[in-house]
Amino acid sequence: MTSYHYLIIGNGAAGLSAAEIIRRRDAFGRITIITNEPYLFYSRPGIAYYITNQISERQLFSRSHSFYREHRIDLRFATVRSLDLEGQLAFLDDGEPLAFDVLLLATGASAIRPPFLGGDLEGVVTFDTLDDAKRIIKYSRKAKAAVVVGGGITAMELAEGIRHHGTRTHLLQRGDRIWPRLFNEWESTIVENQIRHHGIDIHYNEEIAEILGARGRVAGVRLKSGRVIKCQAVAVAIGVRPNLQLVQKLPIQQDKGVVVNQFMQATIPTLFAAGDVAQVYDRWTSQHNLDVLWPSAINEGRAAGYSMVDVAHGCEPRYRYQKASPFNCALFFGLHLTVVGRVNGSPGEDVEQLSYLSRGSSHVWTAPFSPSYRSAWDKDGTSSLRIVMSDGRIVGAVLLGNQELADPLRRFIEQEVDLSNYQTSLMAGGTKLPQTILRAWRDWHQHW
Amino acid sequence: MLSRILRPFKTKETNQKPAFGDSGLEQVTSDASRCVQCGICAYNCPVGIEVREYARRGENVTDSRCIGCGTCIEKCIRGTLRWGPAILLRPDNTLEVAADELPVMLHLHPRNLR
Repeated sequence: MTSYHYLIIGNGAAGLSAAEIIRRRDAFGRITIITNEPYLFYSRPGIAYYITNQISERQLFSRSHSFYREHRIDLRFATVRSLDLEGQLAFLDDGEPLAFDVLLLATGASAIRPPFLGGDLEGVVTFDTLDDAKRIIKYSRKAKAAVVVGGGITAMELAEGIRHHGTRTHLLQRGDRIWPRLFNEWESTIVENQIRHHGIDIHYNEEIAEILGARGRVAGVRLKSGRVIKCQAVAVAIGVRPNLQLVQKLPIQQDKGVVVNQFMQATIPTLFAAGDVAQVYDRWTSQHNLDVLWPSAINEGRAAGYSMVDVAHGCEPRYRYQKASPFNCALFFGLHLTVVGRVNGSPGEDVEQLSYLSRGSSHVWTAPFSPSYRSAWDKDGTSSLRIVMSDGRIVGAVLLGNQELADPLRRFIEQEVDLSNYQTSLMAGGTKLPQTILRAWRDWHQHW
Repeated sequence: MLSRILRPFKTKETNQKPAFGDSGLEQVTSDASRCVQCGICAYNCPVGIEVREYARRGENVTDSRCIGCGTCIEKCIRGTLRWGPAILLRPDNTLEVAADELPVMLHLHPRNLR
């Protein structure tokens, strides 16, 4: 019996779910996971709840050593220096070559380093790993004031986490409202009110020009407008970039990430990619898109696991991966948020498309197209609902606050349910919109 | 209104239909696609059930120690856990759960004494 060697680089959601599937399908194969972090698998989204003290550090680890032992997964704490795809070798940092049959690249994405002067001072943090979370807790306990830069979910979580420790927090926004590419103006206002309610100062149309230091530590920031804010910590969450350092020079197709086919294969059949690093075909936008989302990473990892076993055994891969509609939910400042599908927040305005994604978002969300929009919100301004329709189908939805309709809308979008019978009443919008959706859901659910 | 803010996911209309005939009993159900394995549910569970393991598989929390307090549902940040129809069958859908194996909450919790 030949035993094949499956090498997985990255011990995150994608890497581990691939390993689980491989072990389920191939009892004799050798599975090695290489991680450059000194930890077992932990919940990446969970570190946001760790900095707000909602869970303990121990709780983040959902798999113990015995999980790896039982699944016979060899976890190695090392860094891969380089790859030799023709010789099927990976070179670790101690120079040891590791031969593999198939390779999964699940290296994830890391935050963009602060691009301004003073980005390497003590007290400047990005938010990727558990170590970063520990550093943020340490700094925010000490600091009197802190500055958070960025507009995505990560920036909100960072601001909330730092504020939780009683630190005065300033949130810098590039535009004139919160997250203009995702939210419409009303939704931005709801979020803004929540943020202000938690005692965080928001500064619009401001960017950092320079981080000022004293004795190697952060002492303040100078903004492009010339203003100076005194602070002892700066948290930067302006986007993430896939970790492509390993494959950059290899002859495979890559754009923002590694472009993969529906079997998660890169242009070399023994090389697979999954998770934040993979660029997967999306049937809604007919493009290869980058997702930095946890559920996508798990599903891509599983799909890669299935195909890897097939390819290692010399068969054609059989299990096609169909990307689901990108979905994320979050809770920041006591406000629930669900985003599904294509929800471009500023259809009319020509908002500058950034090349970087913020963690927990997808390129699909903000892809430009010309749909029709309808929104509803309640009177006291704590929740809002917006649906995006195109050709009698709901293609996207943003729910803030009340989440009653999150699951129905997700099903409608995922299964491309034809709602042309309801289109007139859905497009009327207003306060009747939730009832209309509920009616459509009941009818469809009974019929289905 | 207050309950809407405290429990934004709580709803009767949008709940999934039960796996088999509606027994009228409720149990903690989970939606695996929403779960990020943060473990906030297990951390807050007063009887120490590993709720996360159920959520990972998208199963109902069938642990017989469950007292139906709903703390995990309240604490879950992403709306993974909800009240849903109780499943009284074994996973292989063949055998009914014996009465003495029923979760405690199904016997005792006032929610089910209608």
